[in-house]
Amino acid sequence: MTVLTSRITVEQLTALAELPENRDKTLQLINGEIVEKMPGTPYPSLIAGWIITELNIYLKTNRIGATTTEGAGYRIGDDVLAPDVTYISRARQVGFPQRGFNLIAPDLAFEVISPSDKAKEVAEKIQVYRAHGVIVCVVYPESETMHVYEPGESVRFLTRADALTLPDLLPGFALALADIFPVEDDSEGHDSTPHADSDNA
Amino acid sequence: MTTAMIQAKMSVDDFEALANLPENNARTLQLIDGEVVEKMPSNGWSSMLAAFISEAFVNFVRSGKLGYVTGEGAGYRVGKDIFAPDVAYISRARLPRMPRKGFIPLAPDLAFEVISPSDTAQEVAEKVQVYLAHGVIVCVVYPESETMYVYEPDNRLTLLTRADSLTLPDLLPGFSMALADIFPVDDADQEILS
Repeated sequence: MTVLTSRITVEQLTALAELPENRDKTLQLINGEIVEKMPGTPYPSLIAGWIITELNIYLKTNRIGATTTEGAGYRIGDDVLAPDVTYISRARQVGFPQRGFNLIAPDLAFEVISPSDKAKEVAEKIQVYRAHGVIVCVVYPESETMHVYEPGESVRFLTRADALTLPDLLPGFALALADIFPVEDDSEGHDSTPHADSDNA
Repeated sequence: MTTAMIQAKMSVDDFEALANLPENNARTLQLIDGEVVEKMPSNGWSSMLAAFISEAFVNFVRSGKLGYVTGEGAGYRVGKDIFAPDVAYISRARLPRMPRKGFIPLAPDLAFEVISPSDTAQEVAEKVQVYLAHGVIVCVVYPESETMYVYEPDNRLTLLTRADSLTLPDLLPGFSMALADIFPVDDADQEILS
């Protein structure tokens, strides 16, 4: 049996990420391969912004944990992922390291899908999250849906009319999907559907 | 508030007429959310895996006279869409006779979508949702990671890897397909791959 490619370890990635030329990059390690997170279209980022806003409003009065945005790298098993939004409870971690990746996996991760995101990459990430007990919410801006993968054998499909609730993790929290998918009127300066940005072939 | 229609969605009837035009005879057209999406010839590897999957099902289904297995060209009406799953199974109980012309007017019982490197997450998610909304068990096969996501209409999700087998106790009692059998490993295959 031949080894086709040698896999990169988390330690090697950490060393690489600290090189001066990589300081401004968001590097992820997925299945032993380095995957750089590139700047994308603004719409998914706008949605990520709404998600984190709602979470932080809740956490301001319920001081049970913290959120991070897309730059934060989390070590999850043998991979390093940079979810768009994460929540980590105080029960698992208090404070964040000043340097390097976070060595503890988050409780909850949001991945907001860009038009160019490939199905296989998203599936690999879901697999990694699930294997390490992370609840992952995959947000599809074009169809305005959210697929919630929880450890165990179920998946929830939420649409604009639904709200995301996670009673065990975030008691009393409800994220109405209508609040994270802006309606057309909000996008001044754009004459039609802001999310139908088929900028790639 | 303006309520202007942004784009007219195509109906299944209009789509059927379009697909029947002589110039479209040789094409595999799908109707996804009112849009015509042509299924293009894909890479050999994905298609090879689809053939292995068909093989497992054809043997089981034919010997028990349970229904029909189709390959990537067959169009199924799934709600307001027409999908062309890479492999599908429909029971005789639901479709007594396979039509010789036109699309199959029903959703299959089971659909396989073998993912190509270019398939986007958004497209796949939409298909999965439409299938599930119409009672179809959908198996999404990822050749690179050698995994299969099995989504069932009651929102159960089973993630299978090379060491596992797909069983469908409610739909096809007694059926079992080892994933190792559909993801080839021998050296000859690896050479083809690289």
